[in-house]
Parts: sequence; C-alpha cells; structure tokens
Amino acid sequence: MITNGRIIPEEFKENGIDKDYDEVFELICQNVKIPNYDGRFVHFIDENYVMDTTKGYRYENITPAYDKVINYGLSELKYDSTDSKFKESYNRVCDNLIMLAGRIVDELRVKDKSDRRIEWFENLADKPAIHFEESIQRMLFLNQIMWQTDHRLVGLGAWDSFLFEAYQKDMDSGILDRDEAVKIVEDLFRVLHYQYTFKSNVLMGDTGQIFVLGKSDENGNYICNDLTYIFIEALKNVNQPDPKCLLRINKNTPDDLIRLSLETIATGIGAPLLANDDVIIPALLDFGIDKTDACNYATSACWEPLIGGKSSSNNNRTVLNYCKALDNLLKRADLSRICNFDDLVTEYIKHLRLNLCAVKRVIQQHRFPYDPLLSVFMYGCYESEKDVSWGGACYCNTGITSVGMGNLVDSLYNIKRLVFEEKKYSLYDVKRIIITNYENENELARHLKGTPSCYGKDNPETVALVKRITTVVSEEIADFNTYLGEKMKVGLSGAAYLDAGKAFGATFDGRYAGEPFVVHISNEDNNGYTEIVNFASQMKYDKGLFNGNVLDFMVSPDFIAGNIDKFVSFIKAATLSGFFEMQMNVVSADQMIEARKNPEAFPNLIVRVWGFSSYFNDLPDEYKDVLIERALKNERRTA
Amino acid sequence: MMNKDYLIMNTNQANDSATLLKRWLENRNDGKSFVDYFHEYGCSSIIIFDAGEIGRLLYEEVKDSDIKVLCFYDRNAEGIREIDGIPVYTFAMVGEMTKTDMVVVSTCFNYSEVVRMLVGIDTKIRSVYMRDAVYEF
Repeated sequence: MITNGRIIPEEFKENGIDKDYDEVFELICQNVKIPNYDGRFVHFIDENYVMDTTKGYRYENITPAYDKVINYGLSELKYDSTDSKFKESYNRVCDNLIMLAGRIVDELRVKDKSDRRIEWFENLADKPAIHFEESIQRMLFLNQIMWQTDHRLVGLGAWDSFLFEAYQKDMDSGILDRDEAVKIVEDLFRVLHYQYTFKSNVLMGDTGQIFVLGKSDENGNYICNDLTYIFIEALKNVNQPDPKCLLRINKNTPDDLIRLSLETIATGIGAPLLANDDVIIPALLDFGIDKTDACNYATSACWEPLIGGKSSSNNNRTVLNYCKALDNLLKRADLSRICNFDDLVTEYIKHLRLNLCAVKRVIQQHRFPYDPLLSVFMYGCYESEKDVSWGGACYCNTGITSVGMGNLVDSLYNIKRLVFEEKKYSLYDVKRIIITNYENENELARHLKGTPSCYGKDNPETVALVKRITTVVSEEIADFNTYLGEKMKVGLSGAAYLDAGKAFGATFDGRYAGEPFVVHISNEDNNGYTEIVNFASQMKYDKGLFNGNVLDFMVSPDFIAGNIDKFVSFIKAATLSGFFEMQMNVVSADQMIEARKNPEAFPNLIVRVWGFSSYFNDLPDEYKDVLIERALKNERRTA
Repeated sequence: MMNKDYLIMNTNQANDSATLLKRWLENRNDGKSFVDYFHEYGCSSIIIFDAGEIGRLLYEEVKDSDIKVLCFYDRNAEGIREIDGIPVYTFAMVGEMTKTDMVVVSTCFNYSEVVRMLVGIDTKIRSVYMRDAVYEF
C-alpha cells in the first residue's frame, strides 16, 4: 500500500484493516533494519518501514522532551500499573524502545564487542545518561524513532541546556576537552544531516531539525554556556544547510556570542536565526504560558515559539492569506459605497473577519491520531494519564502562519493614491485590472511594481494600518478553542509565500497572478536595515500574534564581512528596539545568477529559504528567482 | 468566449463539491443558512450559476425567504429549461444578464474564469464562490 508517496508495510494491516498503534509500534521496533553505519553515533531511519499516520492530522513541527530520555532509563518512565488502555500503550512503548535498544546492542556486539556504545544502549533501559556523548546518543535515539513513526519536522530543542550537565561533568573529570567537544558536535550535525532527502518536507532542506541555543531567566538575565558557543562554532565548521539553529538573545547577550553568530551567518549558511526573548517571553506570558515554561521556550520547525517537550501544538496548521479579503471585497462588495480610504479599510476588515471565520472552522475540524510514543515524551501526558491526541500535553494550542501582508499594504496604498487621491482609476477599474491579470495594463503593473514598497517603512500611517489589521486578527482568534480546548496563535511570517502565491490571482501592487508574495517581513527598497527593524519593533506581538514574525534581510557577503562590528552594534540596538525574530540571507546576486547557469560550479552554495537553509542547486527555479530578484534589489541592481 | 464555456468548468469539481457539501451540512446542523449570509451583503436578489444538484439545493434553501432567485445559468440549460418557473439560461446568454445583487457560483465552475467572464460584461457585477462563502458564517 502506498500512502503519501511512501510504501506502508503490509504487516501493518491484517486482512486490509489497520492494526492498532501498539501492534504497529512493536513491529517497527522489532523489524526496522539496523544498518551497518560507521560513525560516532548510531542514528538511522528505515525509510521502507515508516508508520502510517494518515488516520489523523499528523503530529509534526513538534519537539519531544529530550531531557526525559537523558535523565531517565526507559523503564523508569513507565507506570507502576496499567489499569487503562492508555497506560498499557504507554508502558508498551517503553518496553518496545528497550527492545529496540537491545537489538542495537546485539548489532554493535557483532561488529565489535568492546564498542563503548554498547554500554550506552544497555544503560538506556534503566539508568540516566552520564556522559556527554552518551547523552547525545540518547537524544538521537529518541529523534530517530520520532522520524520512524512519521513525525515529520522533528525539532531538536535546547541542546545547550539539556547537555550542559553531562558536558561539564566530563570536562571536570578530564574525559573531555573543548576541542573534542567541538568534534563531537560536528559529528552530531553530520549524522543529523544524513537521510536529509527523506527528512526534507516541502523542499530539500526543509527538515524541521532546529536546535535552540541560549535563553533568559525569569529576571531577564541571559543564560548561555560553553556549549552555546561550541554548537555555533561547530555549525560554522561543518557548513551544512541542516540542522538549523535558533539563537535566543536578549539585551544582556554577550557581544562575543553575537559576534560568533554573525561570523557564522556571514558564511552564508543562514543560521543562526535570532529570536528576541525580551519580546517573545512577554508574548508567551500574555498567552497564558507559565513563566518557567515561557523562559524555556524552543521552536517549531521554522521559528514559531513552542514549549518543547510540553506542547503538542502544531504551529503550521494553515496559512492566512491577507490578500484574500481584499480580493473578495473587490469581487463581492458594492464598490459604489466605498468612497474613501477609510471606507476601503473598513470593508477590508469586514472581509478579513469572514475569512478568519473560515480559517477557524477549517482548523476546528482537524483531529490527531493516537500517539503513545509522543505521549511518553511529552510532559503532561503521564500526569494526566491522557494521550496527546486527547489533550494530555501541558499545552496543545494551534498555530497558523500568514502570507501577503506586504502585498496587501502596498495594494491598499496604491488604491488610496490612484483611486481616491489622484482619481486616475475607479475601484471598478482596480477590480477589472486584478481579475484580468493586468490585461492591457502592463505599464501600470510596471509602475506599481517599481513604486517603493510601504510595508516595512518606519512610517506612522503604515505602522498604524498593519497594527489595525493584526488587531482584528487577534480579536477574531481570541474566542477560538481547539477541540481540546486550547487557543490559536498567528504569525506575520510564513513558508507559503511562493505556493500560496502560485494559487492566487493578481494583486494591486504590480504582482501578477501566480507570482510569489512578499517574503516574511522584508523590504529591499529600504535604505539600510534600521528602518525595517523600527517598523517591526512597533508591531503587536501579544494577544496571540507571536507565531513567528521574522525580519528577513538579504545581505551581500562583502558587506557583512567588512562590517561585523557594526552588525554587532546593529543587533544590540535592534534587540533594544524590540524586533521579534531576524534572519539573514548572506549571498550575492552574482553568485546565484552564476550558480543558476552553472550549478556544478557551486555545489555548496547555501541560501536561506524560509525557516531553513538549502543548497541553492536543490531549489526549484522559482525559489532561485525570488532570491535573485531580492538580492539584486538589495544591491540596487536590475537583472 | 461564449462558446468556450468548458474554460469555466472546475477541473477540481469533485473535491471542491465534496468540501462544499460537507461544510454546508455542518451549517444546516448549526441552524445556519445562506439567507443570512446574503442579507449581510444587502442582497435581495441572486443569480445562481448552476442549475444542477448544488444550484437546486441553494435554491431550496433561499426560496421561502426574501432573497429572490432571478435565474440560473447552466451548460445544460436547454435540457433543464426552468426550476419552479425560474428560467435557466445557457452561458451564451450571459451577456444579457439581468441586473442582480449577487451572482452565486457553485463548485461546478472555475471561479477565476467565471469572474473574468463577468468582469468582461460589467465590472459592477458582484459575485461570490460558494466554497468560500460556506465557511464564512
């Protein structure tokens, strides 16, 4: 049977009927092929023996509780008694994982009886991890079984926090030195990058493998350690697009850490993404997240704040297209009643509310499959004796992303200027132009496209307009509850800027039907990066508006290389200003144009796509074109 | 354009219709009606694009209200001719469309192509796609 493009083993069914979860999970642990892999760590996914999760809306974009697998033996996680189906499933998961670990031990013994990893896997049954490498191996064991059971976009969580105790112990006892720790982490990255094709979701590189470094305590102090630096250093050294990294910062982040991050970003790998705790933590608290949890936030696959190990929230459930409400307005509304810009915005907001109603109703229908494995590694489930799909996790909110805000704002301002101020067109003309995809109006399209974008400008009117729109969104989602009773959050950035654009008609900013939407929060028309930081710093991120709000910069390699100190100052100032999240795409237009023509000459060119990086050559042409166009604009050039 | 009405057919009809009908049934279970939706838009009259199953279901939902269905358009107008005395026209006649508050388009049709056709007749014609509208209330 083939599901989602994969072959589902016949033994997962009996007489054509799905076997239950417990049986299938046991089969997986019994039968997955353990490959002959020479490397520091054992990490494998049997791509031909993956669980079928089509029974419900798959759990993805989540981060399991890696600290559980480090701090406990698997048998220590079990219930003492199994007086319910859930407890029985829960314990069977633990037993089957012990069985799988035992199979790995047997395989290792065949190759080399003195393999030190044998003891690691033996200890997994009933003891906590002790050593640094051992702890990493445990995290990889949990990570691989998540992939094996078809949890896609599996996050990695806060590795500098989870691993620090074991690291420090090994350093203090002389088992480990810093150079060796760097090498270990480099090997960790290499092994995570293995089976990159299988792990990639929408595009190559979109694996969701993101680890989070640094954090803030409840008093706003910045917390980092040796491992924070080691992880970033190793990231720079291996020069891969994957795994990804998010560095949490606040106003007290040491300069040398910011500098190291910028040096890493400057290599072109697009990481780390920077997340501003001084803005994000208050937004989480406002949403009702416990203070300790808020201070320990991790992220979903791209950048959506998530309480790793405690939240079964799926943060990418659907995409809100801000342009759709304007499109609907033009097609449905009595345009003769819209006499001025304020009428237009009022009518837009009415249609946005209708659109949001539809979005909420779609999300309300989603149901998740029974998932005892995830329940074992999600705090709240053991305590509540409930599976994640029954609301067992501490948090089970839902998140949506968005596209098109930039195009919407520019469209509205173009209508304001051309219809209400200069009276060159009527709203009916605008309707015709959009619906006919600028038929006989190519000059207008060129003019609109060439008009500097308003979105991202530090302009009180634009800021007020965007805030007015996002306020409506937070009002509309305020009353939403999932079937598990939890809340919704929205972000201003989204992965679907190209795919949503393909399926959408023209917009009144010079964008033809099918063209991409503006990428996240970006504006290559701005002179300098400060302006858009100021814009983003004035946005609202409370009341559920914190599901990823990424400033996206194109930066030429020469510019950042020659100005690292200035960029350090810029990041510090931007943190104080109050940006939410920030990522930089350090690549030149010339490099990409050349790579488009001669890919074999640029096999290792890495670019930032949305919340992930990818080899440029792996991207479909339309993504390459978006990046080239943005880079040219940033460099003030044309093709 | 009038003799190329295949362009306005929805190639994803089965999927979109199933979605529409599922959502519509939810609305019915919740006591919601398209009548209220059309009232929100200030409509007193509509034209329905589709005189088949979905168009007739919509007609049944509004017929006893103050929303007047002026006519239908359908590829099989010559076979159907009328529904409860309300005429069914072919798309060849769409250029002579009666003035109405809203054209309601069912999932049988490619909405993008339909609006393109309508805007070519008169930019003042307002239209809504049922699959979008059904979840908005």
